[in-house]
This record gives sequence, structure tokens and C-alpha cells, in this order.
Amino acid sequence: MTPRFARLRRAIQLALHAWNGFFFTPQPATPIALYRILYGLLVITDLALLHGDWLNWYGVNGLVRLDTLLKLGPGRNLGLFWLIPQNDAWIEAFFWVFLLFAVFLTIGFLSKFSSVAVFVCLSSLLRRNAYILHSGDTLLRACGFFLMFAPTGAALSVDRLLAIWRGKEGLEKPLFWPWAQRMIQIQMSLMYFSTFAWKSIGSDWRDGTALYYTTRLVQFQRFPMPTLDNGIILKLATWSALFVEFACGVLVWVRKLRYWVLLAGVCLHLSIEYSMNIALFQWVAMAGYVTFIDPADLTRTWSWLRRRLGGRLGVPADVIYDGNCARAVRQANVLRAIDVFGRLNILDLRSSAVTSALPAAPEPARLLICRRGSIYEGAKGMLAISRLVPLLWPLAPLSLVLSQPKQSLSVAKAVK
Amino acid sequence: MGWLAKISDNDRVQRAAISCLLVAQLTIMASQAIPVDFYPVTALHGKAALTAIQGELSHYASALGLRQDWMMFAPNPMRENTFIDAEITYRSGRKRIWTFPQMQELGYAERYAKERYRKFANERLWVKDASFLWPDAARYIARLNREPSDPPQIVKLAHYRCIIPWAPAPGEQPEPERWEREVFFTYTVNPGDLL
Repeated sequence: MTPRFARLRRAIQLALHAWNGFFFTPQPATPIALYRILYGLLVITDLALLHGDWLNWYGVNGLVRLDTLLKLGPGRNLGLFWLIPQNDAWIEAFFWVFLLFAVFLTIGFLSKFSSVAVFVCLSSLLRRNAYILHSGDTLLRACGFFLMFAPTGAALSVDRLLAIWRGKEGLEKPLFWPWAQRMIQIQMSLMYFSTFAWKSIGSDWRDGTALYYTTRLVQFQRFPMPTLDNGIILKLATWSALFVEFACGVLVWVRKLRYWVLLAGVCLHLSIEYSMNIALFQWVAMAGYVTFIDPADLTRTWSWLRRRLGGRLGVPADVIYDGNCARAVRQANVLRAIDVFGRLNILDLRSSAVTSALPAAPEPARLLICRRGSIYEGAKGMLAISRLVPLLWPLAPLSLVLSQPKQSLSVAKAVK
Repeated sequence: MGWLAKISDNDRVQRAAISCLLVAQLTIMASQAIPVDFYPVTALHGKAALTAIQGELSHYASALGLRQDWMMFAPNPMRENTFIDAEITYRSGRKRIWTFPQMQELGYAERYAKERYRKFANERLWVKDASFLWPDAARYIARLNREPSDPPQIVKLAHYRCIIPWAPAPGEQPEPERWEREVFFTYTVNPGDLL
């Protein structure tokens, strides 16, 4: 083997190793699941904003009629609008079905199917009326494409709870290849780099006067802004916007700089959101930043939040279950999964701590909740812990009225 | 499709297949993102090659619904304020002016929800390439303004523009706004349009 060939082979091996490390090093699904939630909320908001004018944009007698588009090209792809009957009732129904899947995606129910459905619906809006879409829609679609391939339901989702409930998954967090998440990151950075590249061609951005014009476009104006007349301030503002876009496209890949770059990106987007009326784009872009957060940092942040906020939810409760009963074990596992603030001590009935404290064994398949010296079971038990577990907060008002203890006992203290 | 992210026992083949798709997708994305006039492209004499690649790959991107460009206020921001209105002439000869929602005249929440009207009217509708949209828009406006006793007969779509002047020098008066109006489409309303 010649030295040149050996060097080439070594370089290819290194490149393949780096590629595999970047796209295929297993990691938890928490960041992509968090992104799924934000993404779903943004699609819901987008639909809410569109709702009042839905038929004006997509209706039979709207501003752009279907037959006009068909005249442009008979074989034109119109997405789902091609499949549904052309009357306003069906087009309204399409809106509600789209919204339903956006809600499903947000809560992580039928996540895989919902992500595909949301992407198909977003693409259908593009094909039916592209003349009202802006960069926020483009980014939603571009990231939504990769979301279809991501393990979106593997964390923070109803799917995950159902899998735990059915005994298909345990409490340990499974690891996945993050390639879909990496593609969303690349899409985000390409967007910034592209906008930087386009602006670098323009003389107004290079000479630092671009913001003079953007701040004077009356149709874009939002909240009051000081006029940018001063030459130095105008140039600094224009060039700093350009630099932040470059940084978000390129420097974001430098690990040590990443969070500072993202912080600068947030500042840029919030300032645009304040000053310019560009619906949703800033939020769609900022939501993408979640995919750049290291899972370990997410865990650390969540632990910090748990420490800060958990105590404010009230004294912890003991949840006692029968470890020999499969149903009770599954119930206990679901509670462990939703106990995000760590306010529940979930204990097997057969553990020594419990046997010494409980006067009599509970009925099989029922959980016992011990809180503030009282014992609750069944639905009343759920009400008793509803203030401690965010997913049960909707039940909290009921707990004030309905939650009566089965008996009073200072078990909680004894169990500890 | 989340199974594609699941780690399989025999993962070499799966990883290789996914990698091929990723390379293809990255090429499509990058080719669309980089403008042909970007300095490094022109410096490397790659303008013709990039243009050709963009032409080939944009069909795939469009088919997937993933066509993208990020020309936000670029290469240069617009230097004029614009809006579109419609002059509706009724059978009696009466005239009425109707405008698409003007963002600056709406409340903060409403302008957020109605922003797509700005996109449609001010950026897309008046452009000559979008002339196929004009009859639909005129019919829509006629329907919106119909009165059974005095139906609309003619709808004229007009584009208004006003150049943003540069800031006056200290002590000088700012230039007054000069709006130009251009009627870009005149539509004669048919009775069937108002149903």
C-alpha cells in the first residue's frame, strides 16, 4: 500500500467514523419529543390563526379557486385537496381533521401516524394555495418532514404511557439513532446560513442600511420602535443581525459557543417578533433550538427545575402497590413515568418498610395513596395526588370536593 | 416511520441505506440554500454548476413539498410601501373602494392573524407572473361587495406604491410621501360570479 493510498484510506475511515458518530450515536428521545410538543403547539396556533379565513384561502369560492390551479397544469399535485369533494363542508372538515392530528402530535398520541398526517396536511396547504405561505410555513414543513422519521412518541407522550401501561416498555429510557434530529439541526443551520448568504449579496446589508428600510415598511410594523436614523446605530444593528444569522448557521456547531449562539438567536428573534408583524416565524425558528440542546443538559436543567419547583407542590405522597399484581405494577409504573416532579414515593406492598407500617394488606389491584396521614384508594387516591403530578392537575379542583380518605393513619411517616 | 431510528442488531445495512438517503437529502437542501451569486460560489467559478444542480434537484424538492428559499428581506429589503385596493363600480354607476386588510390599521392581535392577506396582496397578487390569480380575486371581491338591488359590474384592481425616501439631513424637511397608483386588472363581473 502506498503512503498516499494509506492516507486516503485513513481519511475516509475518519470521515465515516465522524458521520456515524454524528448521525448514529444512540441518545435519548427527550429532545426530539420536546421539539414534537413545541412543533405541535405551533401547528395548532397556525391553524387557529388561519381558522377565521380558512374558506377565503381554501374554499370553493375563495381567493384562489381550485379550477384556476388545475388550468395551470392538469396533472398538478393538490395534495389532500385533490381527494376531498370540492364543497365548503368538506374543506371545513379537513381543517378539523388537521387540527385533531396536530393535537395528537402535541400530546404524542399515535405519534408516528400523526406526524405523517400533519406533514401531509401542511404539504396540502402548500399545494392548494402557496400564495399566502411564508418562511414559517416552509420551516414547519421542512422540519416536519424529518419529524416523521424521528422517535417522537418515545418520550413525553401518551404513546409512551400506553406502552408502559401495556407492559411493552419499562421505565428505563430507550436510546435511538438521532439522525432525524440531526437533520432538523442541519435544516435550521442551513436556513440561517442561506439567509446570511442571500443578504451578503445585497448592497443594503453590506453597507449597513438595510434596517433603515425594513423598519419603515408600514405593513410589517408592530409595536412602537425608535426610528433608526443614526448612522452608527443603524449599521451596528444591521451588521449584528447579519452576524447572528451567520453564527446560527455556522458557529452553532462549535460546542463551546453553541448556547451563546442560541442565546443570540433568541435575542434576534424576540427583537424581530417585537418590532415586525411576521406571524409565527420567530417561534418556529426558536422551537428548533431545542434540538441543539444536549440531552444531558436537558436532564440537568430538569433536575434543577424539579428541586426549585417540586417542593412548592406540597408534601410528597406514598403510593403503595401490590408487587404481585401485574395490573398494580403497571399502574405504579405509569405513575412513576408521570411523576415528573418526584413527589411520589412509590413502594411495593411487600417491601419491609410497608409491611411494618400497614395494618392490613390492601385489596389486590388497588393502589393505596398515603398523604398527610390519610389513606386513599382508587380514583380518590388519584384525586389526592392530583396537585403533585402536572398531568393530573385538571383533576385538582375535584380533589377539594370529592377526595375523602379511606382511613386516617400516620402511614406516610411510618413508611419512611 | 420512527422504526428507522430504532437501533437494530444488524445495523450496518440499515445505517448504510439511511446514510444514502441522508446524502441525497442533504444535497437537495444545500443546493437550494446556497444562492448562485454567493461570493464563494462565484469565486470558485461554480455558478453554472450550481444553477444546473438546482434546476435538476428542485423538481424532487417540489415533489416532496420541501422546496425552500430563505430570501427574507434579501438580497435587499423592499424600498417601497405597497398596498392593493379594488375599485368596484355598481350597476347604478356608484363607485366604492375596497382594500385588502391593511396591517397598520388593525389591532395587534388581528394583524397577527391577518398577516397572510399582506403576503397575498402586497407580495404576490399584483405581480405579473401571478396574473392567473386576478380573475379569482376580482370575483371574490365582487361577491364580498354584492348588493342585490345594485350588483357590482366592474372590479378594478390597483397597486399602490410609495418609495421610502432616505432620512433627511439634519435641519432638512423629510420628503413628502408620493404614492403611485397603477390599475393592473379590470374585470367585468358576470351575474354567475355573484352566486
